[in-house]
Amino acid sequence: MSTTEDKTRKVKLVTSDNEEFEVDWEVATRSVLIKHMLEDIGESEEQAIPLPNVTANVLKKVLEWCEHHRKDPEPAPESSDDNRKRTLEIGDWDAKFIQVDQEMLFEIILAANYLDIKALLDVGCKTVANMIKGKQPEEIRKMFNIVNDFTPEEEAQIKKENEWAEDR
Amino acid sequence: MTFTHSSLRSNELLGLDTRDISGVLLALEKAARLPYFRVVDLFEVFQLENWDAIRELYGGDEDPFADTEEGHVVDPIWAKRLQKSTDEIDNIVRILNTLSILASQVRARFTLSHERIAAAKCSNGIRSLPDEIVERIFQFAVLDMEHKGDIQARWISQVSRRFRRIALGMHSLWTTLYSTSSQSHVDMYIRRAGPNAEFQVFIHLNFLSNMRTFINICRSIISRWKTLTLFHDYKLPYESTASMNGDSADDTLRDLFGLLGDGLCAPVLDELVVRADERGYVNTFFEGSLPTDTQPWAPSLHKLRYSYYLPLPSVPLSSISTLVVTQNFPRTPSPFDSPQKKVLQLLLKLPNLSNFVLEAHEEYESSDEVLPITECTSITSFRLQLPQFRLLEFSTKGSRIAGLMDALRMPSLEEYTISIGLSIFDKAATESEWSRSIGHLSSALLPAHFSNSISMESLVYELYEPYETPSNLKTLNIPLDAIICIPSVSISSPVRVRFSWRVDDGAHRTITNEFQQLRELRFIGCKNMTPLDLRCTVDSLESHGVWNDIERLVVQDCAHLPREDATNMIGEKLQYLDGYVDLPISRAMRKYDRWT
Repeated sequence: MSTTEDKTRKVKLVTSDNEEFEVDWEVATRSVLIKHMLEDIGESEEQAIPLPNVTANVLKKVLEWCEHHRKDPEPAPESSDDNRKRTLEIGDWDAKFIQVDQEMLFEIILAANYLDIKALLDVGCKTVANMIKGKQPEEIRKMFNIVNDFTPEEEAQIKKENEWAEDR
Repeated sequence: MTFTHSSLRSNELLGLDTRDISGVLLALEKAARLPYFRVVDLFEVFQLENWDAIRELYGGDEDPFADTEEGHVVDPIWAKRLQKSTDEIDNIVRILNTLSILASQVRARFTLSHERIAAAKCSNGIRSLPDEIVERIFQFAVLDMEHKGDIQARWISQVSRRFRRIALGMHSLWTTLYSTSSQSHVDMYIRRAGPNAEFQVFIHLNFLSNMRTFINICRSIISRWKTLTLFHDYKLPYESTASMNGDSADDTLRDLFGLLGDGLCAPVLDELVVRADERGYVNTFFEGSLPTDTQPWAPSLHKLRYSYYLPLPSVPLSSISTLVVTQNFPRTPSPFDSPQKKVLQLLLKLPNLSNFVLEAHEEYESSDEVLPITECTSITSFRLQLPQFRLLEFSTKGSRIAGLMDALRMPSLEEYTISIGLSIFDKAATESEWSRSIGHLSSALLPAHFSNSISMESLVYELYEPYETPSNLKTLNIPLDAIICIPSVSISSPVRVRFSWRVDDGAHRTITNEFQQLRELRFIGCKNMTPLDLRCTVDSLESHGVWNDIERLVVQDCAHLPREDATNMIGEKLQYLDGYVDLPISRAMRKYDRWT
């Protein structure tokens, strides 16, 4: 639970390319990683939080998301039943936010994973999942430039699987 | 020198000196490398006057071929020179054509390499994602795919060795089983799902023989069915040997429940979904073939989702706590029960139902059918969705929903949500027609008997218009007497909101005010609400003596209502929340927009 003091507090973040960002405590603590680091360093406002796995370019985008979602309730911990409850829906704002090139999309996913921002991670994963949905293997390979590295034996097994599928 | 592919093959050219020709390429490449090449005017450099062939023939004061039209004999020396120059130019054209073809090939190769570099740059991301994130992506990729989730899982596993390794390691990816899949295929899915997975099962009711085979394959894992979805496609013919005997999807359903009832048990089955199609009006097929009692074969069944299907179980289904019905309400010939009556009958067969969701597709026409008052004492949460609702049709022709709402009594109701998605057809309605109609609709959906619902904790009223027509003359009128006993009322409306008594009766007002529970009003996502609109809303509450008892007015995501204006107007009661709200109604109703 955040206090009034927390809401006015600023947090300094330093990216891997040495760029410094000063953001509201409420925005920064959308990241569970940053929240825990802040708890560890206590009241020391001057101390910057190093984020060696995130570049300034990506952090800027991540902070844009955190700013927009600063008032969102804390996400509930994942339960075993989560898979069934999940949906592929992405909110309007998030859908526009995540309209970036593939390189940035994967960078955001990695950053969300590193910073432990589950909701943003889900937005990224859902976006990639939507790109996969309805696509056949060759189309998926083309989409993500993946090399077909199956051995001839594996290819034969896959062919057999597909023959079964045709045999409806 | 002239040569062609047909006259001399490349191996025959080995002995020829082609340095002069290949020098053309060197000269071109050298020219293209010039730092100032881009600013060179090539037309000027290569202009006709710079060509030797032209200069030699036409370079003098006189054109040697100018008079040939008048029949003069041309000097044979000039004619010979012309022929020689023409041959040279032909060769130049051939060289340039070949160069152009080869340069295009080189460029295509470079373009391909560029694309590969760009793609490789992108794919670094997906390659660098750790397995647990790729798993998450795969899980989302098969989500909401219904029966096609099985194909998607297979396709994912056939992309690359890494994808396959991850996919085969995810038991949950293989839990979608579909009745029309081949036996080998179903076996493969069951095997890959592992010994503890719970399955989402889809049975296509058009295919009776497939269904029987499928049930036989599944016998050993029916105990792990988690959800069962039965669906029918009216566009497909009913395919079975029995079809010639006049059997239908209803027979498949009966057959299925016969098989399931024959000693098979699905102890973890939680949800049963039956989807007919909207064209199949109630009782035209699926004559209610739900097993009389689901308890023996599905003791944990809690949720029923019926689309255009209203069965009438002969015994109460006591395990059911959630019912989701999507139904149209057409005119029904007199010997048959109307769908609205069937909804009420079904509700009576679910004695422990607590959550009820009804998505109603109206066919507007007044009905003189008198529905029996139906008391559903266990329902605590009710959501009514009216997508593509046509206000003017409702206003002029009446509504079956109104009759249903009047008959349905839910004395334990705690949460009531009304979601109305208006039809594009009402765009042309005048402001007064529109306001009058929405007022009537509000009145119908919040009938007077709601004021007796003493357990009500919250009302959510969501109005969605698929068109952008903010108008300060349109008004959403909400009957105060129906909401006065509800502690929290949340409204999302694209137009101004006013409250009024259904019947302006002073005595009624005094009595009702004594029981006023309304403490909190929330305006969420009212995109067009201005300070003036809020003023009018508050005025309507003040004029009815209700405002003083309201403790809190919450405003969130109302773009045209600045915090300062709202604070000045409301004072201490205001709770102004920052942040954007992605209203569920917008998402739910938007899917219908494309059909309008």
